[in-house]
Amino acid sequence: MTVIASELNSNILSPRDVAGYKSDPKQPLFKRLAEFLQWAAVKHPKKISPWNVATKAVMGYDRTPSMTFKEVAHLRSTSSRARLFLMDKYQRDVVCIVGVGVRASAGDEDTYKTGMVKRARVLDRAALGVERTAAIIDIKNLSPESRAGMSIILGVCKGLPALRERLMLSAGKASDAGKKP
Amino acid sequence: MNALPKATMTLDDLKLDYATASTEQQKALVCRQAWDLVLSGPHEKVEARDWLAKEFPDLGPYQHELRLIVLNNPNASVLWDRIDGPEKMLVGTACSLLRKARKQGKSLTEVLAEYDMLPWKHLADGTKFRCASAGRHSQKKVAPATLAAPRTKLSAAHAGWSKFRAFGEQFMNELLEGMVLTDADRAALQERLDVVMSQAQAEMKLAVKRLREHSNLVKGTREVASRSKVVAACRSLAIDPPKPGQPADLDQARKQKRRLARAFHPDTNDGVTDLGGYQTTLAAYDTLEEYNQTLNPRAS
Repeated sequence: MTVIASELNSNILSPRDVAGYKSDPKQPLFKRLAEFLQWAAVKHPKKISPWNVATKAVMGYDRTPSMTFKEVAHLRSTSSRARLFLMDKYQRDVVCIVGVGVRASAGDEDTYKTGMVKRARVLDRAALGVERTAAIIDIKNLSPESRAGMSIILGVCKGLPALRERLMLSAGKASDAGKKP
Repeated sequence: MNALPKATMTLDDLKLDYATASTEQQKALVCRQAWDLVLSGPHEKVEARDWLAKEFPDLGPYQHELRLIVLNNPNASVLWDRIDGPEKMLVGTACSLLRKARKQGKSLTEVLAEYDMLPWKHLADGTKFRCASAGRHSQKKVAPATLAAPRTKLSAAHAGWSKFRAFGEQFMNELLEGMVLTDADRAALQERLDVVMSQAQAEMKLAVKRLREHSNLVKGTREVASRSKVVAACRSLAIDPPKPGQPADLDQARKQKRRLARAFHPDTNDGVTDLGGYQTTLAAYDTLEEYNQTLNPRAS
């Protein structure tokens, strides 16, 4: 298949796209990453920034580093702190695509589809795990202290099926759409 | 020597004297008076030159200074005779002769004798002077017009075309054998033959070009995908581009293709109609595969 070079890079940020971005070197790394993701979400919404391109923009390098460059791995490790900062300051979530790159969510609809559904599914799986674990424990064999804690958990577990049902109802359709094949 | 002008101290009088002066020496005297007038006034020495140039527009650049140099020399009467005489020596030439005499420690007469030995040079505006070397005033030597040497050997394409045309003419003459044609008809036929043969030649060239391309394809020497295409494809797949001349990492590219295709597939995006990202991913992988195949055809 013949591909014209200019037709490529439609959904991936290229180094040329981030050439105009200037980061503040006085800020800590996670804040710089968050500011870059915010800029990219405004300038190139829903475009994924590969980690090496993000490193180039955040660090202010002239050339694009390799994917195996240690600074790229270091920047990747700051994404969780950047997520919190981005949520607090700009009300955006960080969308990571494993092995590809990262982007900030663009709008509430995007946040719901990419972040909320995934976390609801995680909560559902966690609730299921709590139910299954509680089912194999005999409360009569527990010490008095543990029995007190277990009774509290069992009280919570009574409401879990209803919670799971609501989660599946609210995010079921969307989660099916976003489910991995 | 001509009579010197009377000393006048007003600008209008000086201008009038300058306009009516018939010799260079008289003009030089007026210039000196004007210079004294300027220096006696509020003008500085630097401004005085501009003032003189403004008040006496026909005064050429540095003409005023050159005249004063000659005028202030006590032995310059010989030079004034030459300047205002039939020789019409340039004031600049007189200055250079004075400078030469001073530098070489010779008398002005000796320098003038040497000067008279030099050949004349004529300029385009009619002025003439004596000059030893050709210098910048000499006329440019024009190379004699020479014809290009006749081409002893025709290029291969030209020779081929000549043979082709000769063959066409021979063929046409065989066809026209026994017919009586006027010169106009024959010229028209010749013109028509040229058109047909040039078309045939163009088609033949195109056919050969296609044959050569096909031959290269068979041999596996087709054109390598450009570097920019490969780099763009790697950027699309979020992998590092290979070094020039090295094959791309297809295993990594395949993994990235699957990840990105999953991310951009319409089924995972509520059936969005924009297939740009998905198709770009597939096309980028195809580009890298084609690039690797081009580098090493046997590997595929």
